[in-house]
Amino acid sequence: MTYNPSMKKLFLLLILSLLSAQGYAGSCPDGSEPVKSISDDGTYFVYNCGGNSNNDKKKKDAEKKPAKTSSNTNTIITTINPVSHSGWKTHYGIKGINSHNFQFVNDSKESRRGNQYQRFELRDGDCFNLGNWDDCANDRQRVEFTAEPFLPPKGNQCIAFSIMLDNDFNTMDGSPTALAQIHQRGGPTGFAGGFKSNPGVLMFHAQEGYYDFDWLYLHGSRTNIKQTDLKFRLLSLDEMKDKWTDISFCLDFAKNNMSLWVNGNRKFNINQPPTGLHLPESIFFKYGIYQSFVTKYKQKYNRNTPTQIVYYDEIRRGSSIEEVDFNINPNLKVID
Amino acid sequence: MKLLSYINKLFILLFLSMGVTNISYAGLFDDWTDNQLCEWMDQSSPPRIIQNLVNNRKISCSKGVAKPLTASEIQVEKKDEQARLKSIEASNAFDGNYTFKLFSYGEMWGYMMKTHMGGGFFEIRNGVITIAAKNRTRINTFSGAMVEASVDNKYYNSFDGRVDKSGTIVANFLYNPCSEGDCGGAQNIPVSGSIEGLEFTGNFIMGNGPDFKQIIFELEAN
Repeated sequence: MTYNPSMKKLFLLLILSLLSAQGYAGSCPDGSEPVKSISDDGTYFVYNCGGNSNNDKKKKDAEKKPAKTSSNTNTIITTINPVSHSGWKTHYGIKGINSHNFQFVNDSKESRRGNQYQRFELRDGDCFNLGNWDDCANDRQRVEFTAEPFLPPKGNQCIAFSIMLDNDFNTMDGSPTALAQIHQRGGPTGFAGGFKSNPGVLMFHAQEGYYDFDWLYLHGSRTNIKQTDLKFRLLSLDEMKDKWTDISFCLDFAKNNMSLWVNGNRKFNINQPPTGLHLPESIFFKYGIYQSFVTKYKQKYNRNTPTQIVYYDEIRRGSSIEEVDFNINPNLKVID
Repeated sequence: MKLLSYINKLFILLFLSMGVTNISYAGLFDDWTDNQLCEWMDQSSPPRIIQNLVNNRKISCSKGVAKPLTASEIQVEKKDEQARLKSIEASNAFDGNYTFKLFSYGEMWGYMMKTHMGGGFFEIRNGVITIAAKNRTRINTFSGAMVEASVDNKYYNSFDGRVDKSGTIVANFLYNPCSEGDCGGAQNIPVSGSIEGLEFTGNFIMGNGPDFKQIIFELEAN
């Protein structure tokens, strides 16, 4: 059997993309099993690697970072129990992440408010098997926390977070980076590129030098849903480097409206049903760093993906903007 | 050999399934009000599909609120399109029917590919070029199947061209080489070429540019 040149190129592309989908999941940097214990303040579980492996270059690099690092970079944290006035019960991380992927930073001078904030770092090869989805096999890299409780698609669901990019933060041309997103469970399903897909609701994307609100406009039948991405440009990434930006938004299912504020100033007021015409069982908030189609970047530039570091603070939920945005309601208590 | 045959089948299945899932659906955004479109326009870089719809509906947007274009504003828009057509003097030197095939040429999966999109007949009467209602075809770009397009195919209806006595042509063509709703929606593409060169071409801008897909009408030689 012979193939024409186009088919040969397609085969080559397929094989290369399969080869690139390797797993990198690991527990401790030295390969040992982490030990689970409760943090000093009892708000989250810590997994301590204990050992001081000096032959792990990644770990050494993490320790070289001069500022905004946790005092204990050996700690692996995969569960956070935030204070109750945040509106959240638990934030679940990805099992198998490395200590450099997530840390708390205790520094009241650098935090948005209070004493503590969260540091995410994603390096080349940081992909994990999430159980029902394998990022490594699907050309993704990610370290994210999923916030619980999941929220019903009813009434007004408001969420806020403060975000700061590391001064060296770089996006990857052709490979978007999601910095926070709303997903849905029990929602419509469809196909993307010939594969089954469960589309989300919205994503906050860092790409082409900007931070965008990216709404997935879903249309079609419940089992053959199509998505058209509509972006609203929020601000340039340069404005977010080494500087906190406060994002708050409300998805009003009663009034079919989406509104968003940046640093307490209303950015848009869009009169659309947030999840389209097909309501899901629930929606949920995820935050961290999530890169898609990383092979595209690697092949185009023939180099590894850049390390990205992002900080989060003041993650809150409520049923009105006054309950979540401390720019609008300065009486809101600090979240530590 | 068995493996190759298996891979081949997988590819066919993949292409077929992609074809099935990329059926065009008319009326996307039709149920959006003018104000709903304008809510997306109050930013530095609005989505192209929304921008195109705002242009097509002849409205302007200010702070998320729609306002119909005034007669003079519409006139300015039309002038630009008409000016292209009037830039040459229409001639009946090439009157007749011409079979064409429509292609798009651009990057797909990292490679430059030429894709057969459809075909039909150009009708030239007194130097005015339109696409005949009969025998229009559209290709399902993923499965490769030939589809008989209906007479009211909006894209072919939009073709409006002129040819001068030397065979030079200019035309305007509202078209989207991607699935309905993708690639920012349909754009008015300025097309040019010559009858003797057997080719008319134009560029469909991807996103906010500078990337584009070339749209190619290839005429069959007599």
